[in-house]
Amino acid sequence: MAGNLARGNDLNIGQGTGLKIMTWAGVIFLLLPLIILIVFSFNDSRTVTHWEGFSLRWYKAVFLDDSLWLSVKNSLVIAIVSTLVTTILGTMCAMLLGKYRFKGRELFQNLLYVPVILPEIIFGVAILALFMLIKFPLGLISIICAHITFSFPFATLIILAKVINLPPSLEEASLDLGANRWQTFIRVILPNISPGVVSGALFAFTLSIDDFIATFFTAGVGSSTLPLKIYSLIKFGITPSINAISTILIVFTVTALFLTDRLQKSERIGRTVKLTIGGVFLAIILGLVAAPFFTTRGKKLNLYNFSTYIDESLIADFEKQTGIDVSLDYYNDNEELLSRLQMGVSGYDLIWPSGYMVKIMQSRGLIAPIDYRNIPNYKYITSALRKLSYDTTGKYYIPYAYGFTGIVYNSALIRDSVDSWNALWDERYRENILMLDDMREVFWAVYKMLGQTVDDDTARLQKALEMLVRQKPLLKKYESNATQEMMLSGDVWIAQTWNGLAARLNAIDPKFKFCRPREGVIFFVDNLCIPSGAPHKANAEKFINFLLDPANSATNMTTIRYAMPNERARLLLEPSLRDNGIIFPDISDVSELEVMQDMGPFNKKLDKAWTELKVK
Amino acid sequence: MLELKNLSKSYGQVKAVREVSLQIAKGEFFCLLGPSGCGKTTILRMIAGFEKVTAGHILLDGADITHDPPNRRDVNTVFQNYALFPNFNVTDNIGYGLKIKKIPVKEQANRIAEVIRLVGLEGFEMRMPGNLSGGQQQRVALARALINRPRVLLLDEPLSALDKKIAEQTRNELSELQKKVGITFIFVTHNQTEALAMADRIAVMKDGVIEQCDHPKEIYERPMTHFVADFIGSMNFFEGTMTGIDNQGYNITIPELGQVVMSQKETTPETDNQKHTEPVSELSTAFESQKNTMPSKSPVLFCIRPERMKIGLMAPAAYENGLSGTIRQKYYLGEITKFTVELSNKKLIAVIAQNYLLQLSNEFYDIGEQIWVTWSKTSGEVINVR
Repeated sequence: MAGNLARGNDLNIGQGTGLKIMTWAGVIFLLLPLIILIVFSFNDSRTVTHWEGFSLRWYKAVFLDDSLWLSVKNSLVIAIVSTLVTTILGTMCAMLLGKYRFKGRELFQNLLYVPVILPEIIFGVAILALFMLIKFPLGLISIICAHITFSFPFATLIILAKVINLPPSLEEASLDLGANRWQTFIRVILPNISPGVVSGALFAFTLSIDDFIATFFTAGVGSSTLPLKIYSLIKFGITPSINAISTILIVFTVTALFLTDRLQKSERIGRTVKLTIGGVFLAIILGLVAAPFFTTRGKKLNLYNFSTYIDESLIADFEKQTGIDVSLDYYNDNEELLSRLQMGVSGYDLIWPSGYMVKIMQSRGLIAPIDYRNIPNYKYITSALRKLSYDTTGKYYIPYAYGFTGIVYNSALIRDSVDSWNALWDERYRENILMLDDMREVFWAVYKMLGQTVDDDTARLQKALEMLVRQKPLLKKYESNATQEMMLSGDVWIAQTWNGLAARLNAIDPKFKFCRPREGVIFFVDNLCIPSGAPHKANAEKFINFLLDPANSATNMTTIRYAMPNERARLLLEPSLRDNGIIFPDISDVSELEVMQDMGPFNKKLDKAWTELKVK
Repeated sequence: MLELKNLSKSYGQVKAVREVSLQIAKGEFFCLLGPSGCGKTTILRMIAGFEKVTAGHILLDGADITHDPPNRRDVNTVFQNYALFPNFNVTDNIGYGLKIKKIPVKEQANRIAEVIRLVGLEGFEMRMPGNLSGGQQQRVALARALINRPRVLLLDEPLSALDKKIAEQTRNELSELQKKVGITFIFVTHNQTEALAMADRIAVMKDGVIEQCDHPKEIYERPMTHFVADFIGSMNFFEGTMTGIDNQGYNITIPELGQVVMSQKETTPETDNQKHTEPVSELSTAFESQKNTMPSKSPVLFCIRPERMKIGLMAPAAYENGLSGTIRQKYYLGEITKFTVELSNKKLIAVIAQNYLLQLSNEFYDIGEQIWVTWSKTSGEVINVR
């Protein structure tokens, strides 16, 4: 009767055209980004915004990228294990809260909301502090623990709603009919709260698989997840390979959901079959989790580098030659590297800090002196770069690659020849200019343009700031990560950028030209350093020696397109590369070479000026 | 035999059940009757094992089961809302107990088929509980409990959620079923009609205490307390004083009536309760015991049921008591008419007349009419006021 009363069809409730339009608009709004992402994963272009024909090249790239697959595997293992544990704990907790009255119950239930309300970044810092305090090693297990901790309250609250709605008489009836408490739970309670348990599990899985913040804080050596990996890739431009991997993930998730649903509903598939499928699935997961513990061969080397800043085939060669098991994790900038080491994330044997960071790290005791007796190939390193200003002893670093910041421009759109920093202030390119989103790079460029050296002088800083404030309306934006992307798409005509990136753009299309401004440029040198307390220092030195071998160094340069201070290696390069003026700036006179360095107390003033500029 | 010895249950300061003692014979259809909150369901839940006993003991065939968990008691329950497992179909619901006990599959099937036939659920074996009517759900609940052949079956208001017609039909079926299976039934209800219709014995409860425990007829006809008299059926009460008592009956002085003589009723036991010879012997002593507890001059309540009274124009005969009054209200209720009569001292009493008798004798009374209310001297009960 109630059903008839509530039917309301004669009133046309829910039948209006307006409502239908709203609904479909909502659905499209939700799904459109995904559709675009999937479509452009088949795009035969480097850009995400211009369609240039169908291609599977990005899928090929994804399938060939071992480090990407490692992060996918990590993500899945973490998500599945944490989901399993979360669901079990959440169900237990929901049963406790939903069925029993005990002292402190209210308090406990309210405390559950704390991780839900708390900003995740606070939670991440807190759990990291805990791990550090109890000396818990950071890695897959620590990430899993963190994910369980923050997804457990969500799962509990979802399951609790179902438990509360479960009539207590069902449980009593089961006991009454002779079942013990466990049988009652398995046969009566669990099937009846299963929709809640499944949604709780799905929620936990979703939270885990796309978590960035808590993972970022708790990740250790070799435990980079897909979101961390994708974020580190973005640094070097969004390529459609990210679309491809996302599409694969979407297809995987949707298929898994669909299959789970079918398995649950299907009457024809027997219990044993379901149990077998579940068992096999569980065994695979456990195997994946357990594998690292069994395959540890004792000979290991943990690298921590910028993304795409080493030819990974070299790592494979090194593994083959020495039998050492190498893992490679990525950071996005020097500050991230510093914070990870300061947090106490130990386990890395080799890092790639920039010059100014070497000085900071050395002053804080984060890096150890390198024993050159173990690195005979050090002899190939250009002597000009052996004792730079940031470490005049030269004991703590080995120069890896160097370059400088200049201007890249699209010569199809900018007819004039560009030879000065002033071009970035040119009114004609209004809204088509890009500056790096990096306080040092931006201010240093201004200082150069004004013909001044960077020092602790407030008046000069004020002058520089005024210049930048004047420039700001002309800019597209401050951007470090998508320069290549925006140049390729034509959104940006002229950009402040690194020479290596300009070389890459030039290789794609010669219309992208690079200019080394006549006022002068700032060099950067990225270095190889060994963190204090690195667990496999000897292996790290072995690897450095391997990298410095001229043949290997040449291979590496060919891939990453940044100059390495290894004269013998340069001779081995293809002529087009060897004589490329963009990649190999003239560094013959080291006294002219101004290397970006740490400014000490001036940093604070600079930081303030930068913030002022950004908010204006 | 199920025996409760000084059974008590407290929730903090609240005493839900106070020192209840009961003996329920094997095969008896026993009913716990009382208003909500009287403790009847609490007793049932203590027998089932869902509630911890505060004090006292529960004995099943001599064995103390007071502290056994529910799944170790040879007792099954039919729940008020049936508590069918929504995730199982009818067959799996009914077979749940057998499956838990790991009875061989073949025997399970046979017993399920048997009990499905017993409760008349053929053709519904594969239905899910959500697709059954209330009556059908109730049968499934019953079958699910009965299939375990418990020594005692507990029924917690099993008819309260059903439509009146279906409840009546189920009531009859339940009685028959109980006779067929011979299992002790303990039935909890607040509905006196159900209790009177089905039970062999009824315990009327109030505030955690059994006020009276007896056969339905005795409960109705010889209520021992004001509460029982008031709760079962409808009753007119008169306050009075015991002025004399002898082997023939009582002499009571009532303000409205003056001197009322009440003859002792015959105490021949009813034949349809033959099998309960024990309780019946208690019955015949009722008058004797009352006689001893009611000294002369003590305040008493005289109570008489509306249907025992007659409306007429004639003054009472020698074998009758009577009162004059005015009809104030009159409700025609199909088989009966219910009158409210105002006595000379403004007190209102209820009188019920069978319509067919009124029609037979061509007697019709209207509001405002002056009449006599009369009843036999053997009618009515005297209750001691403590």
